[in-house]
Amino acid sequence: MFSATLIMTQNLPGSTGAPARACSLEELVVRLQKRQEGALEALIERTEKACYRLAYSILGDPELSRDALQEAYFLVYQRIGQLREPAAVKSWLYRIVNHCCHDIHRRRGKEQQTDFAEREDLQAMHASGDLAEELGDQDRIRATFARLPEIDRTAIALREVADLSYEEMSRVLNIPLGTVRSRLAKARKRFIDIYKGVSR
Amino acid sequence: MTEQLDPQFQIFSEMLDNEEALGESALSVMGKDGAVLLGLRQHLRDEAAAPSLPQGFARSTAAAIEQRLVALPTVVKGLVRLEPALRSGPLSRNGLPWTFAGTLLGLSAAAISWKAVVLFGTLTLVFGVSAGALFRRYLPHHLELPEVWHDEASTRLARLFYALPVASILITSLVGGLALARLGEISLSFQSNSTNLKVAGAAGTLIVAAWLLNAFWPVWRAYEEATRGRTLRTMMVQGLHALWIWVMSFLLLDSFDLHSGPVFLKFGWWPEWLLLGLTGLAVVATWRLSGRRAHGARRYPLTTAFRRLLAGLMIGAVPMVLTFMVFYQASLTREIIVGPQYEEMRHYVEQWQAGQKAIRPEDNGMTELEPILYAKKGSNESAARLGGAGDLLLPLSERRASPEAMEKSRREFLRELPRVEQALAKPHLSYHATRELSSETLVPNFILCRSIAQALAGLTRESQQQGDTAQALHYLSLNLRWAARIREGVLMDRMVGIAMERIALHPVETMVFDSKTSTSQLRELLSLLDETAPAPLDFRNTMFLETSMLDRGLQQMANGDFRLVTSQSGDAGTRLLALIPKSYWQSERRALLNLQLSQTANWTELGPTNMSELVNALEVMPWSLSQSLLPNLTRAESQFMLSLSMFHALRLEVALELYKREHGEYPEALKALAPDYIKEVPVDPMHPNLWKHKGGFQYLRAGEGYRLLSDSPLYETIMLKTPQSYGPDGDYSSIGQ
Repeated sequence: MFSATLIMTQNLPGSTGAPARACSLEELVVRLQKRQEGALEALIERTEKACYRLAYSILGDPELSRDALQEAYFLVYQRIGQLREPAAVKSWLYRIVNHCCHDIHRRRGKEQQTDFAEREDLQAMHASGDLAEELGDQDRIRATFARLPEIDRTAIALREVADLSYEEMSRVLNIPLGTVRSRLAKARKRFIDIYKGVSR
Repeated sequence: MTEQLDPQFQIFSEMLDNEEALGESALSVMGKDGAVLLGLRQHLRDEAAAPSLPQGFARSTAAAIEQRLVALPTVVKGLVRLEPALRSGPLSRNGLPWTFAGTLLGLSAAAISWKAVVLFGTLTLVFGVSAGALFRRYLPHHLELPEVWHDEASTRLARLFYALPVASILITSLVGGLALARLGEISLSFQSNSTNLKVAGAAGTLIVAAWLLNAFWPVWRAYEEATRGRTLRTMMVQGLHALWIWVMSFLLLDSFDLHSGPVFLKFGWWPEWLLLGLTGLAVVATWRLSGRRAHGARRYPLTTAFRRLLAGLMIGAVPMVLTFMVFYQASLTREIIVGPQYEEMRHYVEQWQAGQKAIRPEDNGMTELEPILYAKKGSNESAARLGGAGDLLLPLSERRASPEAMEKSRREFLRELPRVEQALAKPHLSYHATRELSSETLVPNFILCRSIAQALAGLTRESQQQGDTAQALHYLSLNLRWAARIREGVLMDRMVGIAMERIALHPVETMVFDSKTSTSQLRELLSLLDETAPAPLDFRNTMFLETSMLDRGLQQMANGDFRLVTSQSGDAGTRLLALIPKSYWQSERRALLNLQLSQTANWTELGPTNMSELVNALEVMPWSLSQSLLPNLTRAESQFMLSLSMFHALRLEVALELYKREHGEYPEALKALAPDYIKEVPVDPMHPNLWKHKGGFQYLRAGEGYRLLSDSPLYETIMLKTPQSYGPDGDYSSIGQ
């Protein structure tokens, strides 16, 4: 049975003795690549918070974020062999989480369309200034962020929530460094523009 | 439309990211917008920190993953389990090229033959070492997941982008694999491994496909990004892949019969230049499109450049070059330029064939000798006995056999010799009498022929040393007459004949300067040399037959009759050859005729001329089959003239000896010999001038003897020293070896 082989411990040289939780992230990756018992759980424990924050800031929903994370760790388990440089695990992991969030978004196609419709309503309301009166500062920020295109939300979330450098963002999004800079700046500009509309 | 961003805002955005480093002064510059964005940052961080994952999320997620894996199909489960091991070993960046090389090498070793091991082994070893070195140094240290696309609408299109590139790789691998699988049906060397090659071909297809996909993926990703949202660029890249697939499909599936609709010929040269331009454009375009975006471009510039170039060549140049070849070949050599020579050739060949057909079997000595001369190695006892004697009776090296072995060999040779004598007693010795001149013509067993010539020359020398000049003359006569008969035919026959007569002429000087040789025997020797010497036009006639034979072969190909090739390989070979357009064979045929016939003046004049310039070098493509079909004519021509030169020099020697026996001394000049001792003083065929302007041999009296010199730069073309020296002190014996 596969489940039996999955939990089978492989005592490989250099990896015996030390419990998985005491290992560094890179060592955990190596252990997981060797399919060692407990490695997956330890890796999840080590990374779940940061990944969850990223997923939540993209999706804005705790339930969906948990789903995204579960999907992401499944992919991690399946594709850990593709990670040839354990030191690059952070950006690789964020990339998978990002991918899973987008996947969930795609599956929520109809809801997304509703979001677009809502956004159009919102823009219509900007002119009248009705919304500004109805929302507080924090709510305005949340509402504005939620109405950003997904590409902008991802860029801002990676920078502000995951606290990634431009280089790391470049690897996660698989775009050149210059594009990271311009994409982030455009996302912020759009946020400011919508926010001003909301505040007016 | 691409949204334009205010450069000021971009600076502002970057300042925000460095806000902690820049401090409060930066915040004041940012103003209200900065405060809003800092508010957003704080809000997002607070919000992300607020919700938390349930307790035991890690454990439950790990358990859920296990559950999901259990539910996977067995094959997928196996792959998931094996994948890390494969990734870190044979499929790692260091292991992949070696896996590829090793698999091919292993397949070759196990399934094919030692020749294949040498061939593929060398190639794959070179590939493995170079690719391994490159990968080790430059390949990115981690592979990444496929591109994450940014919005729903572009996702499907972006995925579609990869369809044609992947298809082009798959079809290319398939073509390569089929070529490997069918190697046994085309090449005699691999014939016995035909079945195993099919297995190797199938495995090769998969391996090459996997390797190419791995190598090209990063570049395609760069293309996808560079072409996203740009219709023209997308169409260009996809169009090139489509063209590539088209060309490969053309090779794979069917023959594209340009011959039946020579559309391209109507347009002259411009399609060729257009395609050449497109090729360049494609390479430049693919280079630029992959550009800075190519995966790992910054960190691994050399690998990236290599991949970009490879991709550019593949999707740009290679299909273009293939198409270019078809166009080029179809538009080349549209007519036979050398008209008069063609008519002359046809006339000669027709007459020759009529003559051959008129030979009755009972008049043809070849009827008895053919089983010996054209037998497969080791399959005929007579051939073995005749062939075994050569090196023992006239060793061309320092090796000497024991007297017992020589005696045994001599006995066996003499037992078989009457068959040769009997065959030569008949008026004809023609292989072509019963067969049409065609590309299926066989050549006699060269080793056997040379060996028989050696044995007869050895017997001639022995008889002369024993004082039996009559017997020596008999053996010499046999040897020369046989060589003269053998050389009638195509070029290979001629070359075998030339080799035989060189060996046969070895003992002639010994006979000439031996006082035991009587005057009448000298006259007999002179007439034998006259009778068996080749005529100056013989070489041209041989080349007419050779040209006609190759022409007929190419005509067969053009008509779809691939008997020559497929007689060994069956129907599959025919199908493979049928993929080549008929116009290609027609074109090759015309190219061959033009090339060969432009040399006719050379063969007629037996000297360097400018007539070969009749055919522009561009008339034949560099990779033309005709080029490879053409034998080394310069060398063959020089060999022929050397042979003729030896005959003439030896004729002069006999005449000089006759003169000396009558006058007591050698003449002061060669012209004293004609017409009493020799019909006319011959020119030296090796002289570099045209036939009508050739000089004679240099005749130098030295004391009571003389030296007859043949001085010519043509000796260098056949790697012999110049001048060659004949006469009592001369030494030409090395020529025969």
